[in-house]
Amino acid sequence: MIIVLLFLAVFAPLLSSHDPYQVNLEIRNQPPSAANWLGTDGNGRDVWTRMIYGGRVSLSVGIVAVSISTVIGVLIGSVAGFFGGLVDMVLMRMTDIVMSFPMLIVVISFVAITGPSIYNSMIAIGILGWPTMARLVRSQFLYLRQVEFVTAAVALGARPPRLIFRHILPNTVGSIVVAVTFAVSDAILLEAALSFLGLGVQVPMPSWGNMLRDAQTLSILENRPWMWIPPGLAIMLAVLSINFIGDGLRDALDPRIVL
Amino acid sequence: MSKYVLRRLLINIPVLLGVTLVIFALASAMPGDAVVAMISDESPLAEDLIAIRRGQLGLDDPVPVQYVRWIINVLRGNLGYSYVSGTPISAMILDRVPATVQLMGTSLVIAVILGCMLGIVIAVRRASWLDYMLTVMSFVGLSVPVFFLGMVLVYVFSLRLGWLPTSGRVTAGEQYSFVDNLRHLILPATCLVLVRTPLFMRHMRASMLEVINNDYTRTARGKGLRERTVLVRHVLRNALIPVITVVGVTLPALFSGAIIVETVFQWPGIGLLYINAITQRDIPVLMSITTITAVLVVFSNLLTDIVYSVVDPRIRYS
Amino acid sequence: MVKKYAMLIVALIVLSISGIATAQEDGTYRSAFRTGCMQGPLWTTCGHRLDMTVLQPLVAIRWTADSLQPMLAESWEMEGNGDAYVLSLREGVTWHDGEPFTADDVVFSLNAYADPEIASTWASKLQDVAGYADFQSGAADSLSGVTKIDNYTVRIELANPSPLWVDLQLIFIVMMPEHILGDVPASELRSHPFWENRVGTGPFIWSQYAPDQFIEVVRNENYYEGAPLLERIIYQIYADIPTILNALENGEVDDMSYEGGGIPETEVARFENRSELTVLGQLNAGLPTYIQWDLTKEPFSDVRFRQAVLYAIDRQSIIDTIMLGLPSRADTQFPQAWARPEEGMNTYPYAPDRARELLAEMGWAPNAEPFDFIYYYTDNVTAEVMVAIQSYLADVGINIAPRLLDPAGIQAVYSDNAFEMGYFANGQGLDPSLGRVLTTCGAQLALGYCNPRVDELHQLGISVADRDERAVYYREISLILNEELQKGYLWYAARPLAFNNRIVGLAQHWLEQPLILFNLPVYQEIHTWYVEG
Repeated sequence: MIIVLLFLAVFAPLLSSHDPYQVNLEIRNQPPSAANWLGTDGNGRDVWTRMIYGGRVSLSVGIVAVSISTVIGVLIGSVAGFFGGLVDMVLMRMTDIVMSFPMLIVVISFVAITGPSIYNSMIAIGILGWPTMARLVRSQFLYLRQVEFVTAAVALGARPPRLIFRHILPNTVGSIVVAVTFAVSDAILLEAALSFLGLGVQVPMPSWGNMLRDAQTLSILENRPWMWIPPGLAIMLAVLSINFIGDGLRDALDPRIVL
Repeated sequence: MSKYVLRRLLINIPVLLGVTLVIFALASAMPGDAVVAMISDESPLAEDLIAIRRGQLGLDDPVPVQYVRWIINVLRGNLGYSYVSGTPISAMILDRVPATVQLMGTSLVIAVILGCMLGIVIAVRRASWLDYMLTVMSFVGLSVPVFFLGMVLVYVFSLRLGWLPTSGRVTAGEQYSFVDNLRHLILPATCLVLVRTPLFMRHMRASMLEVINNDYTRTARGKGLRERTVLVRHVLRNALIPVITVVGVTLPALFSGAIIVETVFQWPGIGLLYINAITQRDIPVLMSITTITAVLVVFSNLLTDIVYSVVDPRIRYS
Repeated sequence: MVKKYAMLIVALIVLSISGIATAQEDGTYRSAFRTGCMQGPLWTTCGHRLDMTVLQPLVAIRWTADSLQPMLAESWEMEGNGDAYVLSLREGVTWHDGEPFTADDVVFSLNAYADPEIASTWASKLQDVAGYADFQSGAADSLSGVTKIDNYTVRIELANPSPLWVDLQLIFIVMMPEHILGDVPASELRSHPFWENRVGTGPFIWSQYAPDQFIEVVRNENYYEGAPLLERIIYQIYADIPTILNALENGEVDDMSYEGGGIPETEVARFENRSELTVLGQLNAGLPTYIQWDLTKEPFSDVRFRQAVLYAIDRQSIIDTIMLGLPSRADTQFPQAWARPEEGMNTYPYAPDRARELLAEMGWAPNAEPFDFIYYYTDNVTAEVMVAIQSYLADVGINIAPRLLDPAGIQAVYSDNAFEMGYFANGQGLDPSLGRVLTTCGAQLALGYCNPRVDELHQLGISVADRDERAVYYREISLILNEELQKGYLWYAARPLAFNNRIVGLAQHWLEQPLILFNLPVYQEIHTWYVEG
């Protein structure tokens, strides 16, 4: 499913003869038709085209931001949880500090310094997102490192990197997957919130989040469902499919679960 | 353990100082300041008036000087005064805390309990129709921005069905009544519950699945213990750890509130105060809210670490 | 366990439904009020509606916008051609705490507005008073032009005489009680608890204030125009426009506020369907809306570029489609029809080829680095307008990047001298003379525009009181601005409002009000309004 969404996003220009930025005030707010499969928006732009182009923004925000936060979070969390003691203390206090940063202030200042752009919001979302992941992985490590099979591996003389990556980490994949799923949907929705505050994707660039934001009036909710159902459905399918991929990944990595 | 806790508490002091320093620097880096934020294009203010006002607020001083002045006051227990209204910040915050705690408390408690229970149920009945149904349903809640969700709830339950008020915490200017308060609470709380329940549900389900097939769980089963006993005594205990982490991470929101939900529903809490302070560049108010939040972050993390070792006595800190 | 909680939830729902009776108790008018408007008349840019109910001006503009209503000043006399004014105060008026209202309060209030240490947003309304410059520079510690003759007479001398001073300046100034605030040091006035418990002279008495929730004011039985018929007014505070719309539709609030935006054009039809509401969809906001540019920078300094922009945008089409025909097209600055010539103005019809011609003439090549294009209205309609403008301009080779920014951010862009272009508006419903802030040489919002003839005409415009004589000057300004396009005039905005017919007097007065008067208290005979039934 995610493959389909990615495919749509990557090959967007081939899948639609419309230009996502082509304004035509004469055909605004049209319901779905043969010419416009999902109708048109308030500027007469083709909703289907904007949805697949919007996927480029939303999926890349989700994937890039979450990759940043997952890599940092897993590394810090596993090292802290595995070694404990002073290492844990230092890394976790760092985590505390980053967790205390207020997202909005950071993003406003960051954007003021670097200029508003979609890349900046990705970086900001990624950098502020890792502490939850780190704490989650660490908590699993605290518990797993004294479970029998790990103590056995230690007794057999396995070295830390092997212990971390071969023995313990695979057992935390389940939690990580869930966290990643949520992080992706969070990132996609956060992008919508940031766009609303003028800090993320600006008009006229489409993203699933700001397509929903543009549909946030009761008259559209009531009378023009083609403007809000497609982007909403797209976000849902993306998040759902990431979740299923994660589930599959977990099963693949964990031989003990038998279906 | 108590030595560990004491050490954590001591270390937290420089951590918090560091946090306030960074946030102060970031907040001061936001474009514009409290004086120009009061000016609109419709009412431009003369340059000399801007200068006088800046001088009165001490905005002309270098940022490090402003920070030192602020932190000294805070250490003396004085959160200062709003740049915009001149009201003591402690009073502004105290005015809003009950609203936020009520909204966040209600929704978090419901979300955690509901989420954990559903998570356990669908983990035990993995791959059943119930599992699939709840999974898909939870992703509906997850895929809609809260501002949109809030609008839909208001549309259905207030405007169409006419059951509930659209906004506010109580009917303005009326004698307080608990029922009235509750009716105002339902929609914003439902909004948050719909968004947060899936979080706890998915985490609970995943970690249950981690543990359910663990070696010692199987050992326990092998010993012939009843399935129910195995689940409660062995699986649940260990599966709780990631869930506790997620709850711990969410705890500071009890104070800091939910900006978008509070805005959409005009819920008079900290989130609303915070977003107004941002647009008005009211730095002392922002600093007070973020500092209190930081203190809560640090302490709820400490608390979760302690809870880990209560749930699983084998977890020790040195 | 699950069942237990499910039952609890069901119980809660039942409980809540059972309490539906949202009885609108008699005598209460619930009015929508915006967040951030609580700073008091000296500083607020959006809280003036409170000032007609609690605190009051000496003289107010009437809702019909064509005459004055004596309030705390019963009458006034002009000396010469506006060299000085002698105000006779209403006798027997008391503050809500029982103290008499006297000339001391007037002297105190006028000085407070002009005091540099108080830094009132509205200080400039007193800039024509004798001694203002000295007070501002620190050479004097009060306004020398304001003198108390006796307890009920005040004389105000102008350094810059104008026969329209009362009509255009004094109506902005609200009276404050000297006996409460007189001893407060200027720098502490802003944080004084008075602002959260105001004592005024108006038809309603401040009762309570709950932050981010509401302000309640109750009937003043001793009001000098007669006790109000309404029992109380509750100003319900809202941060977001959609929240007000929901409350209005659900009958939780009786009106839509006009400060900071009205009902979005796209939602007007929803409200027109409701019989309990009176909807003013085309209410003139007195708000010329335009593309603003920094005229000191290339290519904006070239008038051909500015004209090309207007030829390139199909304004009528945007008005008719996105804005559903509610605003009216603007070709110059003044929203008052009498200040514009009936003919002779270029209407800049949609003509992309003409735009390309002008651009080619100046050797324009499409800009690779788009212009930073700032806007600040957060609603969906504005976003659609931005998209349309961006698309029209791209069509002729002018590329812009629209960017939503809050007021503090915009001020920072101005002061960094980084401003290029943007979508702005300016409330001028009261009088064309307010338009000076946009054109006077050296003014911040003139953004580099300087035409001494325009400044001279503006000065002439306030030197006479007769509208027909004044019109001559403003029509000339209109023509100059239409030609030079100091701003790229788009339309005079409509600000759709709606009022619940439950409050008798509310919709009736608004129906008679020709346009919105921003930033000053407007007399609407609120003491005569009452709740139907």
